[in-house]
Parts: sequence; C-alpha cells; structure tokens
Amino acid sequence: MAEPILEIRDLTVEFSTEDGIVRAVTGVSYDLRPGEVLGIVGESGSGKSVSMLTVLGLTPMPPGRIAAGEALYKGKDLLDMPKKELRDLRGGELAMIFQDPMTSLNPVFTIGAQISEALLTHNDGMKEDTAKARTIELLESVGVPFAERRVDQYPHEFSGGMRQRAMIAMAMANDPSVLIADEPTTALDVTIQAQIVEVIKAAQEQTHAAIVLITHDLGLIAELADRVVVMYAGRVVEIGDVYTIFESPRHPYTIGLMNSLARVGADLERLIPIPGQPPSMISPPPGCAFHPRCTHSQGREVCRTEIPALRAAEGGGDHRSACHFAEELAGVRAPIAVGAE
Amino acid sequence: MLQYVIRRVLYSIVVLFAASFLTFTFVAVSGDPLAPLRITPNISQQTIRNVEEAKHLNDPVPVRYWYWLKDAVTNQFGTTLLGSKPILPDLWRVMKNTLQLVIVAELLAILVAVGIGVYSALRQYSAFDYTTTAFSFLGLAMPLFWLALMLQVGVVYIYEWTGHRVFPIANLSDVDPGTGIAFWVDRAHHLVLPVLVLMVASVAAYSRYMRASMLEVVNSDYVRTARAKGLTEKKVTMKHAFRNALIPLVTLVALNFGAILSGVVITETVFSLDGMGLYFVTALGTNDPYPIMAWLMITATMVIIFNLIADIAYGYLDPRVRYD
Amino acid sequence: MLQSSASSAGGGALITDPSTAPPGEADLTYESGVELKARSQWQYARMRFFRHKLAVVSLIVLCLFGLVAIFAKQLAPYGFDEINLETVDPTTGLALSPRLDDWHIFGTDQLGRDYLSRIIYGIRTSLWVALFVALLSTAIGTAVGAVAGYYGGKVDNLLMRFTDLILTIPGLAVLLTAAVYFGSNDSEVVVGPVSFTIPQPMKIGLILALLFWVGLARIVRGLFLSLREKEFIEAAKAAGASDLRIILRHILPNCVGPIVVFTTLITAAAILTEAALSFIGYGIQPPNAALGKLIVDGQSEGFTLWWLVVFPGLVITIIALAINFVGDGLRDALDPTQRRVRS
Repeated sequence: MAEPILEIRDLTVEFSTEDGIVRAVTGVSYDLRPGEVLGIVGESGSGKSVSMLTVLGLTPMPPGRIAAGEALYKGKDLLDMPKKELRDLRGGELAMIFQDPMTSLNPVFTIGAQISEALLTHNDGMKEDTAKARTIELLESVGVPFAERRVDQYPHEFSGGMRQRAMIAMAMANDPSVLIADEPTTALDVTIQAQIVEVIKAAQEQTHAAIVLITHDLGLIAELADRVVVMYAGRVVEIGDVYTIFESPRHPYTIGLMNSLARVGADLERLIPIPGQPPSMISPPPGCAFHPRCTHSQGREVCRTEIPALRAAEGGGDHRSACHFAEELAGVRAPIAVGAE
Repeated sequence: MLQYVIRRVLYSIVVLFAASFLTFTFVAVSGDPLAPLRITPNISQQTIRNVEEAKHLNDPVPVRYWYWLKDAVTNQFGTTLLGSKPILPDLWRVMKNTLQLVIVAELLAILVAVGIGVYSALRQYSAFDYTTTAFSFLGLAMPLFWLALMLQVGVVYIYEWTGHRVFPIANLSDVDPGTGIAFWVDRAHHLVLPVLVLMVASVAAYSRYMRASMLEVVNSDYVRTARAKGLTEKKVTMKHAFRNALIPLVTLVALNFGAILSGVVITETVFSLDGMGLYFVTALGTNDPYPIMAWLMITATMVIIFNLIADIAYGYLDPRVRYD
Repeated sequence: MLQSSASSAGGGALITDPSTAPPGEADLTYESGVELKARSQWQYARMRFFRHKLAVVSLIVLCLFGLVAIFAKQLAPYGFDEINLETVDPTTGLALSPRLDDWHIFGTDQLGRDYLSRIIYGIRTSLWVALFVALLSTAIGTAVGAVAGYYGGKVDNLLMRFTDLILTIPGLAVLLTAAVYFGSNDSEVVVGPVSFTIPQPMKIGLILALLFWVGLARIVRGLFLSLREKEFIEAAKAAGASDLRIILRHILPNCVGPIVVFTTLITAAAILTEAALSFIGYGIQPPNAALGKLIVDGQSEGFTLWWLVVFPGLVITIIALAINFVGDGLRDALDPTQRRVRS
C-alpha cells in the first residue's frame, strides 16, 4: 500500500464560547492515500469540517485552539509549521473548495481575477497575461462555456453550478496533491449536483489528486468515495472502504445512517430515523457519545462509562469501529448495494 | 449609466420644485417679515403699504411663489425684503467659508474613522477597541454645542493659566485676506476647534459603522476562500476584506451630508463663523422668506448632487448594482 | 438549554427497536437523564439583555432619572424661578459656585436661582418631551411603514421618494424653520365644544416627531417587504385571514425587535435635538424649563461661572449615553441572529 500523503493523528480542537469550552474534535486519526477519494461523513456538528479546516490553518485561533495532535503532510506537521510555509502549501498543493459558491467568491472581483490570483500567488514571476490564458483553460476544463467571455464576469453573473465549477477550477489551478471538498454539492439543485460530481470525477482523473470529500450526503459518498470515515460528536466512530461501510457496517451509528436512507425497492411504511438528538458539545454524555441513542447498547455499563477505542473490525483491511460490542453486530442490517462503477 | 444619471437628475428637478413650493408656502404663510417695520414709530402706513405692493405681500401664495421663482432664476435669488440686499453674493460668500470647514472636517473624519474601524475590527476586544468604542459612544451622546462651548472654555482657562492663546475661539480670521500665506495659516488656526467639533460626531458614527462592516466581511466566506488560496493575511485584509467593507461607508458618508450641515449650524453659531449656518439662523430671525428659501434650495440641490455622487460611486465599487 | 444531571437516571424507557417506538417520544428523553426545558422567547431575550452589565446599569440610571422627573416638585430644594437674594458671593455676585450649604450642590445662576432645582425641572421637561416624540414617531412610522411595505406598488414608491428627501436634508434647518414659525408658543385648539391648549413644549415635540418618524417608517417598510414573502404569511392568507389581521397579528410581532431598538435611538436623538433647538433659541421657551436653554443662558459667562454650562450638558450626555447603552443591549437581546458584533 502506498505511503499516506496526509496523516492525521489524535487531533483535538477546542473552542472557547460564552457558554463554555466546546470540543469540536477529539482524538481524531485517519490517513489519506495518494489518488484516493476519502469520504468523511457525519451530521452537522460532528466535527467533520473542523478537522480539515484546522489542518489547513483556516480555523480562527482566538476562539479555537489545537489542544493536541499532529497532521503530517509528506512527513511534515502542518500544525507546527511556520505560517509562511503553510501558506505556500495552501492553495498550491493543498486546495479546498467550500459549500456555498455564492458567498465563497468575492463579489467585487471578476471570476477571472480571482482564479488568476490563485495562480499568481503560487507562481512567482508568472505574468498576468499568462495567468489569464491559463485561467481560461482552467474554466474550459471544468466545463464553463464561452470561457474567454465569462472570465471577465462577476460572480453574480454566474449560475450556482457555474460558480462551483469556477471554484473547482480555482482549486485545481496549481495542480494540488490534495483537494478538500467541504459539502461541495449541498447548496446546489439536485440536477446540478450530478454535474458537479462529474466535474470532480474528471478533475481527479486528470490530476490524480487525493480528494477529501466532506459531506452528509451518503449518495455522494457511494458514488465518489473509495474509503469512508464516519464521525460522530467529534470522534471517528468507523473507518473502512466504501463497500464494507455500506454493506457490513459495524458501528450502531453507521448502521443507523444506512437504515435511515430511503431506498428504491424497499418495502417500508415509515422511514427509520435514529432516535434522539445529537449531543451537546459543551457537556457531552459520559462514556460513548452515542450511547443515549444507541439501540444496541441496551444500557450496558461500559457504554455509559468508557469511551470506546477504534479497534479492528471484521471487514478486514483497515476496517475499524469504535464500539465496545462491534463483534455482536456481525450481519445485523441489510446492506445497500453500492452501485457497480 | 448615462441614462440612469439623466433620469435621476430630471426626477430630482421635479422634486426640487415640489419641495420649493411647499416650503415657500410654509414660510410665507407663517411669518410677517414686515413686523419690525410695523412697530417702528416713524414709518407711515403708506410706506408700509408701498413695500407690501412692491413685494407682492398681499397676493395669494401661488402668485407670490411665482414671483419668487422668477426672481430666483433670473435675478440670482432676488433680494431681501427689508433693505433689498442681493442674496446670492452673500450666500456665495458664506458657502465658500462653510465648504472649507466641511470638506476638511469630513476628509479628516473619514481617514480617522476608517483607520479606527479597521484596526478595532482586526483587534477585536482589545484595549484599543474598547477605548475607541467608549469614545464613540461618548461622541454620539454629547450635545455638539456643549462640546464646542467646553472647548472654548478650556482654551480660555489655558490662557488664564499659561498666558498662551492656544486656538482662536471665534470668527474666521484675524488677518486680512490678500496677505497670502499668512492669511491661510491664520484661517487654518481659526478652524482647528470648529473642525474638531464637527469631526467628533462623524468619527463616532463612521468608525462604529466601519468596524461593524469590517467584522462582517472578515468573517465572510469569501475571505475564508482568499485565505484558503494561500494569500498573506495582509493581502487578505487589505485587498479582499477592506474593499468590501468600505462600500457601505460610501453611502453613509454621502447620506450624512444633511446631518453635517445641521452640525455646521451649531458649530458656526458657537464659534461665530461667517458661514451658511450662521447665515441661516440670522435669516430665520428676520422672518424673510427670500433668504430662507434661497438657503433651503441651494442646500437641497447640494444634497441631491451628493446623493447622486454616492450612487455613482457605489455602482463603481460594487459591480452587483451596476446594471440597475 | 440543556440541563444535564450528573448521574444517569436510568429511569427512561429503553428503546430496543426504533421501528416500534411511538413517534415523537423517542426524541425527548435520554437514558442518561438529560432533559430539555422549554423557555419562551421573552425569557431568552431577558436573559440575553441582563448579560450586558453596561445596559443593565444604564437602565437603572434611566429609571433614576425617570423618578427624578416624576417627583421633581418633591425633590427640588427650590422652585424653578425662585430667586435668592440673601447669599451673595464677593466675586461672582448672586451666582454661587457649587457648595454644600443650603443644598446648592450645583450652585446658582446669575439671578441667584438654585441650579440643581433648575436642572431637575429641565430633566423633567426633556424626558417627557423625548418620550412623547418617541411614542408619536413610532406610532406614525410603524403605521406608514407597515402600509407601504405590505401593499407596495405606487404607495410604496411615493413614500420612498418622499422619505429619501427628508432623510437627507439638514434636519436641524427644517426643524428650526418649523419651530420658529409654529412652535414658539402654546396653541389653542378648538374641537367642537371642547377647547384645550397644547403646551409649547409639546408643540416642539410634535415638530420633532414629524421629522423622526421617517427613519422608522423606512425600517418597518423594509421588514414588511421581506416578511411579506414568507411562507407563513401565505399560510395565513390561505386560512382566510384579512390583511389587517395579517399585518397586526403575524408580521408586526416579528418586527418588535428592530422597532424597539430604533425607538431608543429616536429618544436619544430627541433629547439632543431638543437641546440644540433650545440652545439656538427656538426650542422650548420659558417659563418652561429646558436643559439646552440653561446652557445658552449661562454661555456668556461660561468662563467664570463654569457650572452654568458644565452641569446641564453633563446631564444631557449621561441621559443620552444611558439610552444608547440600553438600546445596544436591547439590540443584542432581541436579535439573536446577529453575530456578536458589539458596535
């Protein structure tokens, strides 16, 4: 197996708020391998975005604080790097696209200017017209029609899907090795979502970048991801390759997620939600964070007192689950067949 | 763009007419400009009646308005009722003086306020932030005339203790015009306190606004994107954040022009400056609609011009509103 | 707000099969005894307001001033125009500097009138005029803004053009003009068999209100324009609610926050503007008390008799400051969606 390009070890991030200290991310560890698509799944507030934002140094540090952990990119710890070095990587080898392209693009600059800015920042000595020519190429490569004209337009003159394409172009401008996509399709119409998925796929095929796909949309994961990290209440609760996660999940939360999907062909009268609410991140429940909602725990003491560690599970490979009773879950739920690619 | 400007100008002219008619009616109906004449014992009834005829004071209001309008357009806003003093030259003179005061005060206020606002936003909750916020609150709560008076009293006390005339406290100049640099230096010296007073309210309001605007922008998604692209903090702040934060301030400054003039009225009264403010207050005392109307019309025109400039500037700065 | 108990209660029902749990019940209780306690919106607002110490202190200060205004007669040691000819200061004549004898805490003016008393009566006038202005402007502004924002179209257009002009011309000039011509004395109003006098300060208040309602009207109009499109209004219409009902029961309650905040701004502005008018000489006239008039009366000798100028101005500043702080606190309390950008 190839050396991981990004290794996150025991990352813990806290925020001081008026009401107390919020631990957004606790002891999170996972790897990103070159060229793969890693999906990070979780509800809002699970910490899936915070971990990546912190790794890139985009979490505001006055309210935020890295309590522990490291993030090794090609061997060097991003969290410990001098700011200038991290800045050189950001937007260059490590690129990120965000959820809402309307608010994520500066309304007073042209799309072309913003993409060219990405190019000029990371290529000392590049001339403006070279940058502009390359910008037009990039826009064409993500499928923006009439790129030579559109390059001088403003974000409000683009449609939602076009804007997201432009953002992807901007991220890919400097041939990143890692592309982080934070909810790239959440703010878009369903039909546009499908288009953007194609754009991301094409981008990956061309550049072989590793992609971190952060989303709560399981369908997106099923279509794009190679491996999946499931997060809950700031911790990783399950990791595995996408087939294993979908067909033989070994954590009650993952199982709950898979169950709650509406499936074509299934004969159900009611959708099956996960009961209860996500926990308060200021005073989380003791022991396993999921236990108040867990149908599997049955009130067993160890669930209420001890935080389960991420242990190897039966899927083999690096399938791991953070449940005290993962073994009992063998064959518990019917799988969702992952579409043959 | 040109179409838009033309449309606005035409529309403004209509509004100006309507406003002028309303104001004229209001002023003409409610006061008796000849009151001082009536109580002077030596002036005969015949004289008074002659004046009334000459100035059409007994005609119905719309007719009087028409006379005023004719006079205003053809005869430089005509002459005062009592004494027939031509209005425009006086108005022109005081306007120039006031504009000196206002332009200097506003430019300085904007510079200071933008600096304070941006720095407070970037160093939120710091000692600087709290101090400047406290001063802003104070500046907005203090009656302007009181501040002016206190400054005057302060200067006098300094004089009593140290024998030093720090700043002049009244009038525009002690030196005759035409003496070149000396005149301007003296003028500047006289304007220090009035400019300070005018600046206080503006700086307080603008800096609060700039701070809020900057904070909002600095926490926006597109600033996060700029950071994600690897730009230096300086570039992120100055190029991406600052420009966006500045836009609403432009409108605020332009719309604030009316409030500035109100401040001018007070400042000039306290410091006895020969400007538009004092002119207006004096004119009010005479109950003569002509100078009052002239003043109001010119002011309204200036306001409309300022609003137009603000709109154009806004369109230039924010591409989203350009194709209106 | 979640209130968690330290030990797990263990008393809640164990849910083993989610598909058989009755809908709704599963959400409310956790096994570990964590419960949700519902609070009304007003309670939240009140909690948020009391977090602002400055606003709370200011509120107390304002209440104190209010009490002073209401009990002016009882609190003032002397009458407003009571001239004291007995005590004479060697340098300043009848005007005494602040001292503790005879309760002349703020000294006396050139005619020997106790300044504390004059200021107390001035506070009373200023406060009630300001309150009058605030209430009247709010009433007019809300009504006009609501109609314009709700019905839109030509009415709205006209209103916008009109308010545009009013908001930008120098307010003081207009106010002065109106005050000179209309506001200099009491008016007799005859309505049928009933006649009553409008006291002069109230006329000043009326003039101020006629200028100040405009700002509020714009805000209310903006709010109505945006709220009008929301789905819950469509729902109300579908249920057959009349326009009036929709305006009063559905949209207006959602506007209370910004309206209240702006009303405090108007109050502060009213106090400052009335003082300015009185200072120039066309504001509240004697025999009524006015803080601005006190300052202008003392202006000529402000260098030697400094207390004549300092104290009334200080009082105005403190009142305006307190009102602004309370307004700030209210804004934070009533609009939780705004990020904690303390301006």
